[in-house]
Amino acid sequence: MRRRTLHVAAGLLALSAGAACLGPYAILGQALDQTISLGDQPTWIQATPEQTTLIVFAAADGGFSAPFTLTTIARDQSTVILAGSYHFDGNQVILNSTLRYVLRNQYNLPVTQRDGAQRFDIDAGSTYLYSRDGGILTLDGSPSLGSFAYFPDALVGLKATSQTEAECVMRVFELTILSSETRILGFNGPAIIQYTSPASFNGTLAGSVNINVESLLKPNTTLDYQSFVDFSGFRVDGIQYTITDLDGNGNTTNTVYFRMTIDPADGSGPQTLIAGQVGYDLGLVSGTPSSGTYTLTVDAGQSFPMSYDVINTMDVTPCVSTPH
Amino acid sequence: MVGAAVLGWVGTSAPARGEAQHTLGPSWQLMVIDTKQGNTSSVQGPGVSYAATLGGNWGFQGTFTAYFPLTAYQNGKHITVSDVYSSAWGIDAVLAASRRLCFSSSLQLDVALGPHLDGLVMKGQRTSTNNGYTDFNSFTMGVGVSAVLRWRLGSGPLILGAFGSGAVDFLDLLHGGDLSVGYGITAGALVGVTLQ
Repeated sequence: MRRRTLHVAAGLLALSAGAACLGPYAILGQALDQTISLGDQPTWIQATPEQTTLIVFAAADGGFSAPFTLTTIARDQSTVILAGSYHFDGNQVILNSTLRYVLRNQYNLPVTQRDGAQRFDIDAGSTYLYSRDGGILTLDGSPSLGSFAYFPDALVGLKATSQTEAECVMRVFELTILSSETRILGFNGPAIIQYTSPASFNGTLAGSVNINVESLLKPNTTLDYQSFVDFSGFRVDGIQYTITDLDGNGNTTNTVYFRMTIDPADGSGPQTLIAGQVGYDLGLVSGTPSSGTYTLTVDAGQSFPMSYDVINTMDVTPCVSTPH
Repeated sequence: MVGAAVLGWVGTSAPARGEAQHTLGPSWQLMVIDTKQGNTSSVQGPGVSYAATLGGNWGFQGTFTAYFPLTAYQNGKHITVSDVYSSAWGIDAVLAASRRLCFSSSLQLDVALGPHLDGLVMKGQRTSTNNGYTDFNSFTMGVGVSAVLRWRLGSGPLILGAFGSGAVDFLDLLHGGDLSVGYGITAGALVGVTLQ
């Protein structure tokens, strides 16, 4: 205990001496994870070149209201997640958001000056005119959220037989990674050092991701995905390991596996649409991927090395078919 | 120097001897942090304080407090620290130029003004499933005043006393951009000795 206390003190002293910063103050008594996995629930997706929006509406199971999440991932990777409950009032759906997660793209800043992932308690209601037409969900309002496709339907054409296709699959994979990171408080900022005591965050639908930082003075970080699912049928497993110094210089290695499963309406049972792995071999400068490659390998298929900046433009429209 | 100048107006009723006085005792610490995000956080709890005053009419006074937060509030919401944090401790110090006021041969008051430092470390608990709470840390700096009232027992070196300090902080080395203003208040009882 005394040794741990000394480590904490030494670490804080080192951070202070370097005029470092832990980002904004934490919320007193803030629980790390407020996600209760919802199980197998439908996800809807809308993709434009500028942003990708995903909605999970859990079944009400006879109750008045049920949980929802609304995840918006901008082209520059900035991610906002609203979570709360929804209920119907006639043909209107009312979304009551109680939590807002934010992970802004702050790669232009030194890691010590970033906010990292944050979560805010909010009390915000939005009302939309709700309509379903086959596999299309439309939410009209002011402002309108527009139309969404059922997630498994939108990904049905996902394949990696060329470099261009593989790069789009990589961006689809990254939707889940960014969504998970946005709920890890302090992620991508200096407050990540709090995970010298490991912590676990639930997937919106299933599984979890565990984060572990080696020590305050050696902030090597392990992200361990275990059957993690944020969006219907897209599961990730595996470890992303990042070795850095206190300034965020280092590299990211290891492999994360993914599998997209669909459940056809004909009752023939779950089928794997696409499965593979992403290998990390990235160089980091000040906490920002600045060199190296991702290698996406599809099961029983080819491997596609791709540049570290392939996900800097999060546009999934080439391989995800959705209305706008 | 600034402290000495500000304290210059304070009079004294009896000449003070040049001596070092070291006292130790229980105390209570309150730390309040206003953030630019609009949160007001306060933590308070018992501590152990050491106050040293060196010199005569003018001198140096340092008060050091190690404290252990028991309760916290944020925007009116109460938190029992032991329910949320696995360890919680802080260090508070005012290092200041002092002015001695002697009311009698056995009763004196040392008032001081100078830099203030406060470091607070609260490590969030983890549950068996690795869930838990975020850490809360701060390392604020500003200006503090301290006052130590000492009563010498008889002609010996033994001293009883009381002290209080207050501070306003403007800088946080850990959360530089987010501190609006911080306040630190410490009060306690002391017992100690005089070294001639």
